[in-house]
Amino acid sequence: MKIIVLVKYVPDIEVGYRFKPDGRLDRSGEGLLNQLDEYPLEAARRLVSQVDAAADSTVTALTVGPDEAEEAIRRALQMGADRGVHICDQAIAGSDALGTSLVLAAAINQLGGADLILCGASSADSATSLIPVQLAARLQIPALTGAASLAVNGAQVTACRLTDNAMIESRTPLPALVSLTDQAEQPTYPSAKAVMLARRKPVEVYDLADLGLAPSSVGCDAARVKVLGVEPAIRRVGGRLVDASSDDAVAALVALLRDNALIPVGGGA
Amino acid sequence: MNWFGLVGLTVTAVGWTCLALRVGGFVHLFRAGPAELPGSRRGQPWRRTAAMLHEFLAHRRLSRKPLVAVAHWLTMMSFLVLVATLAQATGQLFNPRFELPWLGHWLIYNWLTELLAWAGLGGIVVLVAVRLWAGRARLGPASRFFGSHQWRARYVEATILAVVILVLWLRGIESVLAGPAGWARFATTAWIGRLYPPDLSDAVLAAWVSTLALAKILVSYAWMVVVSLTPTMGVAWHRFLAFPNLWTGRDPNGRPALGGLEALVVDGRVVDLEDPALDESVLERLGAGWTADLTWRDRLALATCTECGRCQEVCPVWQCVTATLSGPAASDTAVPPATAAVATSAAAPGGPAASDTAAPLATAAPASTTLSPKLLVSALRDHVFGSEPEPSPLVGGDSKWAITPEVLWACTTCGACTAACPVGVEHVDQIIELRRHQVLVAADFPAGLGTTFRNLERRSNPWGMLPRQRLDWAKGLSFEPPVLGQTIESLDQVDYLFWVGCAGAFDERGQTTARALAELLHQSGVSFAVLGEQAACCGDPARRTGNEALFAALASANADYLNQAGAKRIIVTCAHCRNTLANEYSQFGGHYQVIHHTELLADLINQGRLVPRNLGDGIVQVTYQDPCYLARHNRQSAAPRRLLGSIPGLRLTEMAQSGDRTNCCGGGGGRMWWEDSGPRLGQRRFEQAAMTGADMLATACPFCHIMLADAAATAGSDLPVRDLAELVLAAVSPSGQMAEV
Ligand code: SF4
Ligand code: SF4
Repeated sequence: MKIIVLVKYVPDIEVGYRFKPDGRLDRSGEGLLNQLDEYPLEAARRLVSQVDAAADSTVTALTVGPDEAEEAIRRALQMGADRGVHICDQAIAGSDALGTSLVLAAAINQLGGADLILCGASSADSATSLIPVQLAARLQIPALTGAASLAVNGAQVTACRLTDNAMIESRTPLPALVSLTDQAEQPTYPSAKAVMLARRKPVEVYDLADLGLAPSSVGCDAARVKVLGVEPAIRRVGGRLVDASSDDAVAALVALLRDNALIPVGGGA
Repeated sequence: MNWFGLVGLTVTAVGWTCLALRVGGFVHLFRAGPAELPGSRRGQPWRRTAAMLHEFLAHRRLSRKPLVAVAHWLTMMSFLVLVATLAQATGQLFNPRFELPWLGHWLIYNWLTELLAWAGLGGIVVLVAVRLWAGRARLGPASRFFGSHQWRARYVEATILAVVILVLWLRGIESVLAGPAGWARFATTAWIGRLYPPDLSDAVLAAWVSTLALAKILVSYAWMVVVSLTPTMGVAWHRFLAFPNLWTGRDPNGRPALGGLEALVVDGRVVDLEDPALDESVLERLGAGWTADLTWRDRLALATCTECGRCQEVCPVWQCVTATLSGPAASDTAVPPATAAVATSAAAPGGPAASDTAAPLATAAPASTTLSPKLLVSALRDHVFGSEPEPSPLVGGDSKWAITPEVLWACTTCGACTAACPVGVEHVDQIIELRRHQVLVAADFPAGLGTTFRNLERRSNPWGMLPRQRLDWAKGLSFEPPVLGQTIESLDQVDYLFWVGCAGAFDERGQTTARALAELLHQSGVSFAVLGEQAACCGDPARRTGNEALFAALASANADYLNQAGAKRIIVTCAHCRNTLANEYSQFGGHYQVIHHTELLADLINQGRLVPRNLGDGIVQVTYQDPCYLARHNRQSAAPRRLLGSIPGLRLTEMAQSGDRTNCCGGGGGRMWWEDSGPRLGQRRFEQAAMTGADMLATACPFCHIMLADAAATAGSDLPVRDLAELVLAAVSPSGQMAEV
């Protein structure tokens, strides 16, 4: 079985992140493999270990991104991918999801397609969750999104999606795309052996010309979605507790609500 | 040739042949193990010899049980001399009046033989009694012999008993045959001969001698055959193997293998996990995953274990489980009677019914999921000596000797077992080797640990906090501590580097301790600097959980940074940082004088630079938790006591297990970092502290602090748990009051 796992190199959001004046994310700081992408890597690792070893299965980690994105590929190789493919071209910078999915589709075709394409349900930076469906549409294959688990039987893949009040099981023939949430199997921390061996695995780098794509079809200028502005979210401040055991609890609560203009001031009931 | 002689010589030949074959088998098996780091087990031979002889003659490691020590010493010594009596008995098969040439008439030899025979008799009787008492069935898993092969031990004891009795008895009859002229030689045994009727003919007496001599030979060689056929009978083999095992201990000075761990070694070479040219075959063999990975010294140690259970009885995990089984009235001496009686025999971890102790055990925790260092050693030993069609993994496999993950990951590396073992088994190192394989090769370890590893990898601290939060602890100090790289450029400008550590930086209680120490240093005019955002975890959590790759990355980066900054004297508040920086950074080129804060504070008080007064809050009695990595691994338990002693009006009430015999809080060995359903060591230790009736529980390590304070909260107790630095800060302040946490 041929599996391609889409991985993304994202800035380390916890450490902090900045936007450039044009509304694009400043990617110059520290980055890492998008955390949700560890789940499809784990799923792929488990799938190939189940499938008969003789049936030559391969897991390819595919990314589109700047030079530093190789780090995401390296991590993917440590986590069990056999081979890395890195699409890197200055012209791709600033692409919207349509542009990125175009590149990914071309890359996957270039690689001769796949039986199963796995990816994380969204990325930590842009969080649009658009790539999985756009890519599936471009490749004209079915997509099962937001899966909490998946199983391959013969030429079919079954995925389970958990919603707040239901579990939905869906099945589709291969080739197909499945995106996974963090409800899927927890990723395994790679052994030192795996880390060491990952250094010896091949990473192929392609540019747009290799994929037969015109630079004008992607990038900032081709993007049809523009970010107009970015504002930091309003931070919630810690709540206040009123001790219910004290005698004046009710008075204190009322005073608090009134002072914060949450109930009408004065007796207008 | 008489029949006696024929039988005697035949069993002699069989006995020695079996022994020779077995010794050959041992040598073969030991040599099959991979090599150790050159020099690590054989360097400094004179020192080693002296240490071994010291151990042998002084029985230092048996000193915790003085009666057993004396009895064992006498029994052991009797064996040395009584070997000669075996030769004597062989001669007597042919000639009842046989005397050993030259020796036989030497008075001193005769007296020594008698003395040692009586001593051996006394010794073995005591040992038999101790085994019967300490192994009595109703103790269940609280007995140190629980899970030991008791019948093997009884057989060995019976043999010794029979041999010494026969020696004395024979001498009694010999004295009659020798006539009055020889009586001086039989000073203490002649009376036995006089028990025989005086008119017995010499022929009858001679027949007695031959018969008893044959009995002695049969008993002795039967033993030789049995132990040769049973290489796993450490209770017999230790009398030979303990010598090489002690000689090849990790520490050439004969101290238990505690403190810093050895580097990761494959085939006698230190493995550099950063080396891109590392051979793939080496990557398969990191740590101990299969019997083939166990070095000759590992194998020797496993074969030497006598199943005496000293390690089991002091293991906090085992103690905690057995104490829970026998109800909350957990006694400090760890011999709680098991209540209900459910007959069961303990299995070696996951292994065969290793025990013939019919042990009653209340709602038995299966030995396969409860850590006992003894049962772990027995399981490994059986794995090495057992024959399996296919090699099977040492941990988690299908083999009946496999160690379960629960057992492997329960260990806190507290070192109590290694410190207690009389024959030099190095449990902590062995357990770390097993963990190394699980982490570095098999990638099979508790899930919670994966988060810790990721945190260490990404954020250089186990909590996963951000580097910019590193200095948050210092907020609220009465002064600004100099920060290396920000306010000062080189450590030459200050007396000390204060290594705040991850707990000091990120944990609320650790922060309080760090602040208290900083204030005290400031008050006493000690100049120091701290690290800023460059500070990283010392690596102890990674190393103790087997993640040598992560440890090496952290330690080498830290050592480089410290060296570049000119660090020489480092103060720490954490027993784990203390151990790692002082004992393990030399493997990465870092050589520092590392001073635990209790030591420094005790000195400052001693010099009069800090003057403690009464503590407020009515604190009169304090009990103190010795951190394992301070008191046992690094033999530092005096300074904290000096410090407590210097606070007027304060009384130290010791727990039963204290000093270098301290009982673990449950936070070491990486166990701080993941939760499971295993025993709650912290709670048990906290109960022991509370039972002293003290007004306060003092600690000197942030991990002890966290574990015990959490246990106090769980128990709903208001016994405060504080670091010694907080105590001193309160004592030197005018009010004597403790700061709020
Ligand atoms: S180091 Fe401590 S916890 Fe681990 S086996 Fe030994 S005594 Fe038990
Ligand atoms: S390892 Fe040492 S202390 Fe433990 S049972 Fe064996 S000989 Fe005794």
